[in-house]
Amino acid sequence: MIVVDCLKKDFKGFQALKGLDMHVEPGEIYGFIGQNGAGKSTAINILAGLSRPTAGRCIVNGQDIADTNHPGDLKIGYLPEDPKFYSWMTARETLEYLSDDEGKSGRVLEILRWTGLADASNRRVGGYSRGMKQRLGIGAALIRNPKLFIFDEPSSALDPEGRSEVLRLIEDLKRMGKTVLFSTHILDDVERICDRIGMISAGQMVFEKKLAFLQTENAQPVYDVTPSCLTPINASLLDGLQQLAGVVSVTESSTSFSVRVMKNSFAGQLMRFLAEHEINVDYFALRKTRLEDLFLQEVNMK
Amino acid sequence: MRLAIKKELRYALRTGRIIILLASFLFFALLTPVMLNVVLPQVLSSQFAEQDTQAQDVSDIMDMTQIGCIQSYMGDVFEIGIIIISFTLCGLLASEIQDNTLVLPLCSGKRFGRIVGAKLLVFGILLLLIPVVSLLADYIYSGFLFDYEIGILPILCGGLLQGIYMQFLLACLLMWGAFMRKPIPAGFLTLATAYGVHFITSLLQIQQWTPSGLLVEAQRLAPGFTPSLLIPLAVSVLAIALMIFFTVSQLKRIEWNTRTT
Repeated sequence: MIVVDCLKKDFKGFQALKGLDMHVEPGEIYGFIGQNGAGKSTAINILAGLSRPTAGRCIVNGQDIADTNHPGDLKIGYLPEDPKFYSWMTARETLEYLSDDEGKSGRVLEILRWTGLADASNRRVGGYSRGMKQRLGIGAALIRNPKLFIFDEPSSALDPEGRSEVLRLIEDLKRMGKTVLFSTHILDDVERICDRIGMISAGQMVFEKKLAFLQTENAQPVYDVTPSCLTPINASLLDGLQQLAGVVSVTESSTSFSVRVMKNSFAGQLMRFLAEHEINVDYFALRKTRLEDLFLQEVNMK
Repeated sequence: MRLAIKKELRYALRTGRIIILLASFLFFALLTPVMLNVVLPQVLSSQFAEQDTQAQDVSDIMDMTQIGCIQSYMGDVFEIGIIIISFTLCGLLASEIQDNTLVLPLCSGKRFGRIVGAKLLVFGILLLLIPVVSLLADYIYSGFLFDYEIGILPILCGGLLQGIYMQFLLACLLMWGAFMRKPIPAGFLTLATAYGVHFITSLLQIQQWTPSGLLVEAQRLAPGFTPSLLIPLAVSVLAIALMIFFTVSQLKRIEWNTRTT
């Protein structure tokens, strides 16, 4: 759906994008992550046809950005970071205006229901909360029923309830068979709904991987163990653990300890060790690798 | 296009643009006869009182006729009306660019030509009607205070010519709005263009060939359109067409939604 090849963008002496590459497959939710100022919004503006690249090739929805004269020709659903509506229009009027449909087809009403704005559809948008505006923006993006959606930080400025609602709408879009590319710096959101992730840093793509693959590939698994209160943790036990082949580090807290190992499938070996030392265990779990850790790891490496 | 026109109508009504423009023009239209018939003679009388000059003598000094009153109001339209229009409508396009409200319509397929066309149509009709309505109000009220000296046809023609000049002003506002992307500078540049064209062409004695010539012709209160109007009309239409072309071309060049905008 999207192919970006060596995309560059200069702003008066500042290079915002320095040869960005990106591939978004049909039907997936693609999380575009990166620090503030990494170039996410610049890239998204170009992909939405709102800004022109300095160099590089961009194919969006099968069309080369260089050959399009108008953002509407790309036939995508676009939601800016801070969607601006006419404050003196109602939500219904806004969608009717954007769709060139005076409400006769029922499409506007359908979208108002889907976004949960049906009850507030005759209120002026100027009185809407940030979350309601964001939902209206997603509805506006869907109005022409495009196959591809590009959302710029759709949930960043919302409260937890608003965020959940926006994420639900994005998941709904995937169920409808749509492709969604969305940028964010909220990694929890990415972990919740994305199939694939692209991380941008200083205008370049750092990596582009499937979320599930990323969580297992780079991560050094950590096992959290809480011994029963009958078997106190002693230094010799932890030293013994540290000597085991494959163990990277052992960290101790007041009632538990964590074992960082080189690779997955270390649980059997660790359990055998605990049994041999007659350690009763209340809690034993493989800690899920958080995207945030990987993100920080990559940023620090950079 | 129908929905774009509806949108502009809603904007004009809900943001009070129609009320501001109509009320301002009507205010001057109704104030001028009162000023000339009641207030000014009293002020002058009190000033001449020391010199034993009678009120009747003051009236004789002043040109207090309906035609004089209407022409005085038409002068106000150029001097003050243009300022009111420029700053009431300076955000018509510039605010949309500055506030990024055009981003979603553009992404949903709205064309620049249609966006500008809808604005021209709605506000063009509005700016064509308001001078006619105000001049009629001035005509009726001044006739009531003075005496009716002319028929309604010269008034309709004069109002229409003022209205056509306002189309030139509207095109100016849209063009400067597209280039400046900020409402107040767009308003000031429109004023500078309108007054600049008026004074420079007046100095060069070519005013009758320019859009300003329409206002001069309007003030003559001729009972119909004369062949001498052809050149200023043609030049105005050409200037409007050129400005609309520049507006749309500039809109196509803008990079939308960027932080540098």
